[in-house]
Amino acid sequence: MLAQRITTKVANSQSPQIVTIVVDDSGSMSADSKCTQATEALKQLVMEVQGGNMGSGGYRYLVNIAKFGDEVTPLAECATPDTIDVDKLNLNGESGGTDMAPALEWASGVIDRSLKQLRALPKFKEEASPNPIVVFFSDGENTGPDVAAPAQKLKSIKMVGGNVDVVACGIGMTQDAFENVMKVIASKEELALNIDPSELGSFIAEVKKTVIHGGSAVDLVQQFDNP
Amino acid sequence: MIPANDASPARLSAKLGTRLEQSSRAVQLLAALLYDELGGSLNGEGGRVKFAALFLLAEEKPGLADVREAVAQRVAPPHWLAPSTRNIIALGPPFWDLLEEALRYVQRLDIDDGGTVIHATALVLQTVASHVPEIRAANSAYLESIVPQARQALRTHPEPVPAQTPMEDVEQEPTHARAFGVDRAFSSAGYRPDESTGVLRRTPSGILRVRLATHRGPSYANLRENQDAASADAGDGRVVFALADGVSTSYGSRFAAWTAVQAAVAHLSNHAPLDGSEIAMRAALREAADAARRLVTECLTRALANLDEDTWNLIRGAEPLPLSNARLFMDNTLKPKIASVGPAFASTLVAGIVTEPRDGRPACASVLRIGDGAVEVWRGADLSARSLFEVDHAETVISAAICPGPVGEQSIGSAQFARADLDPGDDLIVSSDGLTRGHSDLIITTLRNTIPDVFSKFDERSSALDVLTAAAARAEELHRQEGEGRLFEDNLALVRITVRRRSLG
Repeated sequence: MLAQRITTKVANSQSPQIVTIVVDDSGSMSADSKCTQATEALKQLVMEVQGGNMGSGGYRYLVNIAKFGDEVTPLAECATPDTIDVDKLNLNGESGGTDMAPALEWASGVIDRSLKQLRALPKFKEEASPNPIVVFFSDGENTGPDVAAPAQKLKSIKMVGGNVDVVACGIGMTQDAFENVMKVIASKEELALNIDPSELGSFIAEVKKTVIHGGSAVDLVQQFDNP
Repeated sequence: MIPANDASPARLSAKLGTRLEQSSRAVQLLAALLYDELGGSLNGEGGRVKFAALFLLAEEKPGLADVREAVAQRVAPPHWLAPSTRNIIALGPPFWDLLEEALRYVQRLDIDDGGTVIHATALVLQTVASHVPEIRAANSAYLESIVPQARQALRTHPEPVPAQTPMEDVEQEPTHARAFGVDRAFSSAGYRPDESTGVLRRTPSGILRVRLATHRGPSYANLRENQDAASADAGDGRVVFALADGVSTSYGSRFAAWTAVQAAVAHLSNHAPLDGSEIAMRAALREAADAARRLVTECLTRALANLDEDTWNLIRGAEPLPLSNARLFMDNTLKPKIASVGPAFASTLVAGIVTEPRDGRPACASVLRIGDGAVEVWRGADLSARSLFEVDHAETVISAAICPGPVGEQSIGSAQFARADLDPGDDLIVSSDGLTRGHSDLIITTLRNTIPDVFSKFDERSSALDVLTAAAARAEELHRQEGEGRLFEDNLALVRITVRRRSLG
């Protein structure tokens, strides 16, 4: 059963939403077809966002996408939907380790820049914009520096009438890694979840629905069983 | 120097043909027919219209083909005299309507030069707009006195029965071929008369008249392009029309909407029964919708097979999506892999056939709707109006569309139909959902209340494009004043089919 909606804000050209997806592309992601699922689901998400934006002179979303391993590889930064080349959204599990902190730093940076871009719009209604949503995916233990500081920085970004919702999605993570890392990254404890690897495509599809239909991050997470 | 709006003999040489009684018989008869037919719609223009330089243009004796081309484009050719061109621009639709009407008579009056047509038109304008009351009165009396002779001349030379429709002479968009195929879909996508000039068509008898136009909509709606399209054809005894609204979330929908209306109109022109039963009309309309669906499917298939820069530019409209993404959307339409991504090349469709009164039966409109769109009947007798289909003024999601793939096939089967008798003086009003936005009333009522001045002249001085332009401007004004007002927040399209009270000639 879906949780009750906690927001009625819907993205439109005067109040766009910032959507940020950060996906682990370390070697372990190549197992269990996680990369394949994530790639397909990510492409579908972008295509739907693009479809929803067609015909409009403005844009409903600013999109940021990156994959990370030993380092961060941005795939879209402060991008209006129509500028994203879907063919370039590929995950292959060849990015090395699982260095989460730089990925979180990258997310903070692009959200700051995205907000500046939106605030420069002449008719931008910040108070009407849905919260920026960050969905952070990883299947392994953090192999880099501690995530607490960059996670806090990300969660501390403020906007008029809202804040950043950070959803931290473990993909078949160990319980320790999930508790020690993903719950730290999530902006609220209930926004951390650990899904079965086979659910990755479905989860990204739900992210897509949440974004397009204006659902809340809590609604999104509560559709999947937490450990 | 000649004042632009004072073409009185005292100010302008009689050599330039400003004296009606000294003009050639062909000019007089043609002017009489024009004055009889359209003079009433020009009354009240006295002193406002500028026409004097038209006499100069008539003296230049432009060719008939030249005049036909100008009427087709509704633009004065660049080689016409500059003062004449300025007059023509200032005159606007009334001038073009007069010329268009005049061209209908030229063959039957044995007129083979454009100068005679321009001359007669200028004399009619002089009759209604001269600054000199005596000239207006004398001209008017003279023209009225020779109307019977002009009508007699028409009867002496009955209307020819041409291979195609007599309206070809005044076509403002490419004449429909026997088949409207993929090549024509791509070649005709560059110029859109429905949004550039508006379109006027009449049946040979003059009983049915259709005006149509589409418009990008109010600027506050922040739409990238016009994705509505409309087309019509008038043949012997009937008008066929189609209006499509490109699905905003569908790639290539502007191209698809134009292709769909062209295909539907071409099919109906060539295959619809002239006077069929309700079942036959429904079948013809469904076949026309299916012809539109098949053609957009063929266009998509052709485009995917050869998605070069030129083809892509034709179908993309103002959509900046990268080519690789466009291909994904199009691929997914023919071979759906991602169910949640809607089909490319999708549009709604409203198509119809309006037949003239025949054998004691009234004019009749048969209409098909796939997706959304509004169809209203406006009764001339009491100015009442009613809607033929249910309209949801707030709904923006459609469940049926003309498009390639399974959604399109299913949509043909779920088409809605309506039929209505029309009396002389009645109108059939068709629009996309844009004109239904931001209010809960009938379109006709809302337009009459929102833009009363322009709407009161609709079909006389105002074209369908004038109406839509005024509606969009008024919606913008209301939005600025009220902030939350969101009247007509979409692309706009309007088709008006009028059953006239009497026939011509």
